[in-house]
Amino acid sequence: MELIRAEEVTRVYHFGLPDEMTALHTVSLVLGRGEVAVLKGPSGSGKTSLLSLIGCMSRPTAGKIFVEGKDVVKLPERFLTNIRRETFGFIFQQFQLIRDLTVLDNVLLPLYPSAMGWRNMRETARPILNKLGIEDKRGIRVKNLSGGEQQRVAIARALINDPAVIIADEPTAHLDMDLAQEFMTILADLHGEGKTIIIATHDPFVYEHPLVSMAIAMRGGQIDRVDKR
Amino acid sequence: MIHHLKIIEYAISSLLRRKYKSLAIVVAFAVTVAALASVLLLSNALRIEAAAVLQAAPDLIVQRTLAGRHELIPVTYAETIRDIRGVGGATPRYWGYYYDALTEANYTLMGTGGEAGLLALLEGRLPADNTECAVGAGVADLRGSADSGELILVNSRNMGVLYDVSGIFTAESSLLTNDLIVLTDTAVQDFFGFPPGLATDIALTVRNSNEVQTVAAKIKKIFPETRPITRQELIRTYDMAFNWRSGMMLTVFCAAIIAFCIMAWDKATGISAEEKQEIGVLKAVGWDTSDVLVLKFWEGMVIALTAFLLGIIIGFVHVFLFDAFILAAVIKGWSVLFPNFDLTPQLNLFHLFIMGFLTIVPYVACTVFPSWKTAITDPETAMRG
Amino acid sequence: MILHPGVLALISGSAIALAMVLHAAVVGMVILRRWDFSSSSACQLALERKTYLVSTLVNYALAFQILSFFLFIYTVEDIHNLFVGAMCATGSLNANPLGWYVLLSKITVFFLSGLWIVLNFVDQKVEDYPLVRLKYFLLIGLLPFIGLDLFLQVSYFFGLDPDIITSCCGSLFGEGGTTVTSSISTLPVWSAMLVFYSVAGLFIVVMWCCLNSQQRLLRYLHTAAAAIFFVVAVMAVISFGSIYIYELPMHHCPFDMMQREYNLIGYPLYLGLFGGVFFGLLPGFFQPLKRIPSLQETLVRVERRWVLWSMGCTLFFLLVITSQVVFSDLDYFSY
Repeated sequence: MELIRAEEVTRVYHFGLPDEMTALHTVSLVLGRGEVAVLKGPSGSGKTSLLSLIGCMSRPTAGKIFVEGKDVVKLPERFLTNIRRETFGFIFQQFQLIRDLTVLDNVLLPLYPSAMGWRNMRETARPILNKLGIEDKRGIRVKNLSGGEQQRVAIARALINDPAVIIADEPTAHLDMDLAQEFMTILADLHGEGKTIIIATHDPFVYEHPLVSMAIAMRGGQIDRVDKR
Repeated sequence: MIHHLKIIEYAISSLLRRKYKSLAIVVAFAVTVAALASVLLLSNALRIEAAAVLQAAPDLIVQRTLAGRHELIPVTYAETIRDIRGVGGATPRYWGYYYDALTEANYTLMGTGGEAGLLALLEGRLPADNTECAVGAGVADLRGSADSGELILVNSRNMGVLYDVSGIFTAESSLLTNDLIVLTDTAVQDFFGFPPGLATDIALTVRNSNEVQTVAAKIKKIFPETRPITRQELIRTYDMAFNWRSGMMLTVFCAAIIAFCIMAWDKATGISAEEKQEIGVLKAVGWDTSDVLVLKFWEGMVIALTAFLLGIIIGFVHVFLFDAFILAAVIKGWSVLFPNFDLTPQLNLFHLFIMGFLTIVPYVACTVFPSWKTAITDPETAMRG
Repeated sequence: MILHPGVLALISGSAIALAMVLHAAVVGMVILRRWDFSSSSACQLALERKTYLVSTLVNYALAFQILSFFLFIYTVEDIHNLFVGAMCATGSLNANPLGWYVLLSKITVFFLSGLWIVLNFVDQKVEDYPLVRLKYFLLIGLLPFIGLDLFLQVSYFFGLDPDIITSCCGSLFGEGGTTVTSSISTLPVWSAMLVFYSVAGLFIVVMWCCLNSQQRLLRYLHTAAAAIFFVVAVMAVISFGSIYIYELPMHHCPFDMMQREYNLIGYPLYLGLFGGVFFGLLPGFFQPLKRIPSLQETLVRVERRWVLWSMGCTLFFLLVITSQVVFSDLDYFSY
């Protein structure tokens, strides 16, 4: 069942300026519900730009994007943000946690714009922190955690709104083998719960992982090849 | 509502994570507010004190003018005025100003008006004859009369006159008596060389306070060269003077407010890389531009309200506990003798409102544009690291 | 010129508000010229971001205008003792021919700014910015009113001279004059009460009908009723409300009731009245916009809230004025 459709999307940065750069050129892609898709390719191939567009983080210069059948390209920012918050959970390459905040405060950040009260917010976070084994560290500042623990905080933050889609950008770039394995195990659990997962990586451990159902090779801002497994 | 409360909580935590920058702004802002607060609180307290004191002034004072300048008034006018319906009493007053070259101070020399004996606010008694005087505490201090028991003044014929000090006015009355020297009426007339039959002015009591304007109009009709001054007019004149003085000080302080706002703008615009990254993360995890604007608004309000409160407290303490030592000279007048008196501490809502308008409004205004520039940070910056 | 701190605060604040709205209007003109919702260009994106700046600037400027309305009343009240013959704000306003125009200007700006804020709020609730052009045209139209407000204030305060002998509420709102205000003050109390409560009752009936029916004409009727109620309510306050508050049959001043000695009763009274009238005006003004398909659902939803707020504020106003009449020590009809 189709979840995300990109039709002939183009992304140009600094359009009309001397440093104009085309990151994506007429890319089309369809992702189904429950898919585990990997975008692979060298740096500069457009993986992050495509993730950003699919995840409603930015708008294409041309083309259309449909999320759950809804055309999101022309939506005003407020509505785009709502869709992003409700549908997508992001795990960024460098985690992008606020280092001076505690684990719990970082995890609850996506819930601040909502009408949920503090008690409900904490109740929502508790099972997620438990599942990821960081409930006992909820009061500790993120800057005092190890790399693996920080990643789990980033995952918890991505899950707090119970999104249908998890987007991870180079999730294993700063992890050793054990932690990378741990990460993929967590993703497998999430997939088992029905979540759709999209990962951008150039780590062969990830794109050759048995969990992956669709591998999309990118080069020079275009899709080179799509392998469905 | 809950949305705003959560954002306020985040705003406070955000400010505490940048505590030195926040503290710098709070302190600068608080000092500016304290300066403004001191001006308003002091001038208001003085205005109220003056109004209270002026309640003891005569209902009507009749002065004579010649070519627009004050002239001595014939005592016989008092008899005619006494006959006007509504006038309770008309008493000629003998008083004048004396410049003391020795201390460069101005004193007020006043006749007793026939009063004698003891007064509640006088330690000692009023002068009984032309060789005695009662002095205010300020005069006694300046001239050392408390110790010597004497006072020498130089009269209009350039002759030194020695008076025995029969009494010194107490500190509680200093607003009225600090620069006062009380002599008998004849001593005052002799000192200044008053021609016979002339007085400085005539003080009236009017039986019905609603009739004061009518009586004044009648006096003006009978004696066109006179200037009747009502107590209300005196109070208004003081009000105007205090308003003018506090207004002048505030206008000057506008420069301080503008300088502070420029600094605030600069601080707000100079957002650090870390702060920019944080906003990028917030946008990426689901905060939209208006949520970030609300955050910036509450950050500004927390700073402004904290500084405002602190500034009001500092201003209040400066004026009412430390006698406004920084500002007093300007507001009270450029006088050598200045009374020590306790101002009644008071703070009214209107003045808080004004201070808020003069400080918080410009601050909020100058942070709008920098806040907006921050709030439109692209969420994609979080993806790019 | 009266160099009073309140005057300085008002003029500096109004100047800042004007600067903010001017900036917003300039940005608004750029938006109007280049707005193309169907475009995804960087320019269009930048314009969409600028709409946040405009909204923020105007929101802040409006908040100031609302607060400055109260500061203005407070200030003219505080300076009244500088004028011979003045016993309250009325005297201060009479001390310069522009005084009443400043008050009228402040009321007008209050309502116009409120309308724009609501328009902006509604526009941001839907996905396709249907009211962008209308909004920015109206913002440019609002600018002269705010400029005029500042000009009038400056002219009024600079033109005040304590040597002028002014007249106070006794003559302006007193019986025996030939002015409109004197006529209102001399309205027979019983008739004034009857008219007031009848109009109030009709207004509430219209509100109730609007809550239970989507009839188009009812919305226009609601707005008309709010406007009429405003006029009738002000007349009611002057003709009979005031005398019960002051417990003096000849005292009709609409400002003295904001003084401490009358327990500041004027504030809740006027807050209720202005709130009820403001929300009451909205349904009719926004009815034509229901033709825009994307706005229909949103407008139906928010309109319900407006009517409820209008009802709440109006009932509160009625409660305050009626309680003053009922619990007053003045027994007018045996006077």
